[in-house]
Amino acid sequence: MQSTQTSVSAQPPRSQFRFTSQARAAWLFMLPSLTILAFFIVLPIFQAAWMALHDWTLADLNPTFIGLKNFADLFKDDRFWNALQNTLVYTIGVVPGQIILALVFALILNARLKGRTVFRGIYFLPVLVSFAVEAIVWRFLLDPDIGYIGYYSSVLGLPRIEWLRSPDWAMTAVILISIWRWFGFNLVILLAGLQGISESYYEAAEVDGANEVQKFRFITLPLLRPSLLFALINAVISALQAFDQIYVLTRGGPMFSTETVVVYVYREGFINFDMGYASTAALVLFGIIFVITLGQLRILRYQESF
Amino acid sequence: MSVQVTSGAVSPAGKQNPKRKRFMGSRISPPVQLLLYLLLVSVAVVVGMPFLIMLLTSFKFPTDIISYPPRFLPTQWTVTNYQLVWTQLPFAMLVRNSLVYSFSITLISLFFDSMCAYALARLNFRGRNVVFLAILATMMVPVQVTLVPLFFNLFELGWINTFQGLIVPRLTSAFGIFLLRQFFISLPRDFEDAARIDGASEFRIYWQIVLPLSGPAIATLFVFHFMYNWNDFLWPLIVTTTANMRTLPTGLALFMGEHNIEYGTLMAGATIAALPLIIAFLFAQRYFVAGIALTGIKE
Amino acid sequence: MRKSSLLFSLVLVVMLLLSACAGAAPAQSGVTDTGDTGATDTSAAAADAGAADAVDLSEIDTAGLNTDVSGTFSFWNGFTASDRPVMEENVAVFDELYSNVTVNMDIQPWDSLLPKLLPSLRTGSDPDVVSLDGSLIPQYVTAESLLPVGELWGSDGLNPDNFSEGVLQGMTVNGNRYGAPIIYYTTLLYMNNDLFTEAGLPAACPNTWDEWENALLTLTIDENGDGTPEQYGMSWGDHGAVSIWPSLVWSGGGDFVNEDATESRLDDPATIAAVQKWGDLIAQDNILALGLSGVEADNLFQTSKAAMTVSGPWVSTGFTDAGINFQICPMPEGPAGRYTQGAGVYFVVNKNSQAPDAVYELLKFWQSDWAQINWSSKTGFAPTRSDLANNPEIQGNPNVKAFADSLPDARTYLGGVVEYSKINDEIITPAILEVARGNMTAEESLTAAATKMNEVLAEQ
Repeated sequence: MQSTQTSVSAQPPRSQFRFTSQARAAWLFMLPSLTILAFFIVLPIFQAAWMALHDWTLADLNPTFIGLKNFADLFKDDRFWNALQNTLVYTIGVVPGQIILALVFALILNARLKGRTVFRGIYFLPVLVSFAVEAIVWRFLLDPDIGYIGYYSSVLGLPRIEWLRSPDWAMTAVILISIWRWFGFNLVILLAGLQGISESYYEAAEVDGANEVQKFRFITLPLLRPSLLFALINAVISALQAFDQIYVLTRGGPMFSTETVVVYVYREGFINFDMGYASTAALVLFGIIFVITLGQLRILRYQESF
Repeated sequence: MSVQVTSGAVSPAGKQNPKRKRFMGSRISPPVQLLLYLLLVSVAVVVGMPFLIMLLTSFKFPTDIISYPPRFLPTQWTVTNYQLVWTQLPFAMLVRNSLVYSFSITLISLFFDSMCAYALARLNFRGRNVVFLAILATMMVPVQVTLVPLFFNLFELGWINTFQGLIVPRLTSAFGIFLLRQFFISLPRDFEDAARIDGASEFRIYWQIVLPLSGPAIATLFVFHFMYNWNDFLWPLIVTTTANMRTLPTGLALFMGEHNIEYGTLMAGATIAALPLIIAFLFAQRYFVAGIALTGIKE
Repeated sequence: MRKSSLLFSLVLVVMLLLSACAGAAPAQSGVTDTGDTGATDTSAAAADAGAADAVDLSEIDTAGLNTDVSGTFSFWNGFTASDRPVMEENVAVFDELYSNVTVNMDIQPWDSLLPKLLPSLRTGSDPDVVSLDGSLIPQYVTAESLLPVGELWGSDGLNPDNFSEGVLQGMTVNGNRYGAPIIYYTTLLYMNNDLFTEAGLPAACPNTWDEWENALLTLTIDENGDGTPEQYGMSWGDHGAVSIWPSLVWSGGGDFVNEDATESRLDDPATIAAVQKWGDLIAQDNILALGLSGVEADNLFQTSKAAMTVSGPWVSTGFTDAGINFQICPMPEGPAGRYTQGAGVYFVVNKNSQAPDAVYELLKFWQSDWAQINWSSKTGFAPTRSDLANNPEIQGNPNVKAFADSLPDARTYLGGVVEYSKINDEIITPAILEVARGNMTAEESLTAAATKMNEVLAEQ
């Protein structure tokens, strides 16, 4: 068995043959996906990049080529820097919170506790319901004057917090609500990963006298790495692109305190109709996300399976 | 023995194993169990509270919804809001469109995503890393910026306000490919190597070995795709231009006005719209945990 | 995989059953307006019949309308929530009355309508006619997407004398008219009579700024002295709402932009003084809470947590249903007079429309007595035509009457400014809120904002 595993690279003549036939198969397997991605995502991305080099407003019928002027303007734009800062704060607030919570509860729910399917269902519920409706419920709950949380905290004598109304608290509220919404989603991903880890490893470790921490450190974590990598990278990308959660909760306010880069992109593109400038901001964000993701892949060694 | 080492997931320890009430592999003592339950329940209350309020609101009259002090339970229960959702929206048509839209995307996308992920995870070919990174990169560009070019492209194709316009651009997703790739990469290699030596085609290996081993991942992605497309509301509204092409969430949006929100009807509508997803989740749940034990592969 | 497919089919069956059950209900009810009155499917036809059943077509005065015109056109609008059934009814009656005309109406939220509107118009296709906020018209005119409709306002069309100056101004760019009004509204002062009486104030409209300020201070009640009132003098939404500041600034003698929309007047001393005065009342006297949406501000009034609110006609029904004892007052008179912001949503016509004649008939029909009274009585908006103000139906409803009577006080905010959203949402509103939050003086904030605003205006 060991030998078959290495045969692919170890035996030149056969591997040569294998390689070509596998390569052909691989491209055929990827053909449908790559075609769709190329036409409906990659092509529009290049079109957007082309816009970024123009004074491309939807109102203007003849966009003029302006080279990198949009980029130069962007780097002088206080609103963009504010949006970038908000985006990073949001990401740093949301990602660890949601991944750690998801990991902890995935570990608990992986044990054969009675009723775990019910808990898993409840934790997953937030992503099943329309976010626009959830946002209405949350604004309602957090209203410091007539909302449940505001009212009952005043009854209990707790300090009043303005939450979404206040520039100081709105980002915190948005982060907490986002963690609430997404941790169950990540939990399901990690649970799928945990299910793939064999009991036999733990049994073997027990025989060797390993404690819980050692088992977690040397069995669970390494074997969970592919799922964890996915959950982490996906969470970081989604957080850096935060839009829906902000738009339905605060529209970027109050006083731009929750305006993220994508909310800014949306405003510039769809309200001010300056598509060229919006594309520029989006491309810069793309660059940032790309570097961060590459870094994560490097650190977490994505090419190794175990 | 090599099987055990390289493919830990394949284990004789199945569901029936009585020792499985474990936390990271060891048995849980009753006091710890109690603590865990306390934790689980309190988090469930926090997580579930907004839904309870949504549900209760859907049974309230408007004066109960906006009140001070806030009322938890309705003073008078009513199903008017549900009747209004029924009569004010062309419900059958919205549900039909939603089903066509989200099911066709979910099923075809599962197929395409898993094929692509299989190639990226299990096959050797030159440029594999470049392709993988390129697919990942498509996730990194915010959709808001590709929406307008895509709209113009679909218009050129004559696909605005058609089902193909709604569906085809969604038939694969970098998210799905990435998720499955991460799962496939951790599967044991022995079976497929053996199958290759026996001369099985790559498609057979994918279809008869890799997919059956991937129950939890496929079920997870099924729920994610279904949920995402069922709830998505901007895309259908952008691509369609007539009411007879609309989906359920876009119908619900009609209860939100610029200056007023019809809270009761909206909450009733959101509750109804979530039901199919909850059903789908409950069915898929079994496969989240089934894993390899169900495939019948033994050493 | 067999198990998975079993799962898929099971879910499918359950959902199909669900939709089948759903299918049965509307067919029986007969009021399943799809929002697509002209679509070929049967449910829409049933809706037409339903609307026509409820309305006796022979009672509709068709003088001045050309019901023989033929054509098919698409009409998009953002009249969701409680306005939607009335919009659907009016258009269904139009569809019925004009037997050779088919309207494909699509109602969707503004949030999704606006992002795709300009791209759609640019491809030269749908919609033929669309509802558009007056403030956005200059931008679309600049994009060369709209048809000037001088013809519609000609001798055998609509009579401009029947409309107030504000209504006409809101859709006029560079001297050309670009549509016809769907709604034109002002925001007025709602007051809770019971809270006024409880505080020992007469339950009468505050007529001047002094009376208003006095009422606001008396009605702002902070019993426990924690700095946050238990009852606010007023509520006001600073997003998702019509801004109150134009009314305050104009009544104080200031303005936002000069007449030909080329230069900012934010740094005008009268503007600065008005913003400082009201900013202080908010920042220091806590007469209202900041950071609310328009709907949340309405909710505070509806729960008697705020004694007054400034809002449009759309909330009056909700307040009545909630049993609030309220009246609607004109905006109190400031040192420079009495002003309110008038804003309109208009029908605008696609430059590439293939059926402008049929579209014009919808625009004319909308202004007819029947359509106006039906709309007004069911939505609370005042009629678009000022000559209808004396109609007994309008006079009989005190809430609608208050709004109809306020039209002479109405002014257009930032009229003719192409970059309306940018200037209002990103420059003026934040600058004023800095003052209202007590972070800056009006002088500092508005002077800086004026510079930014002039830069944007210069780019036009």
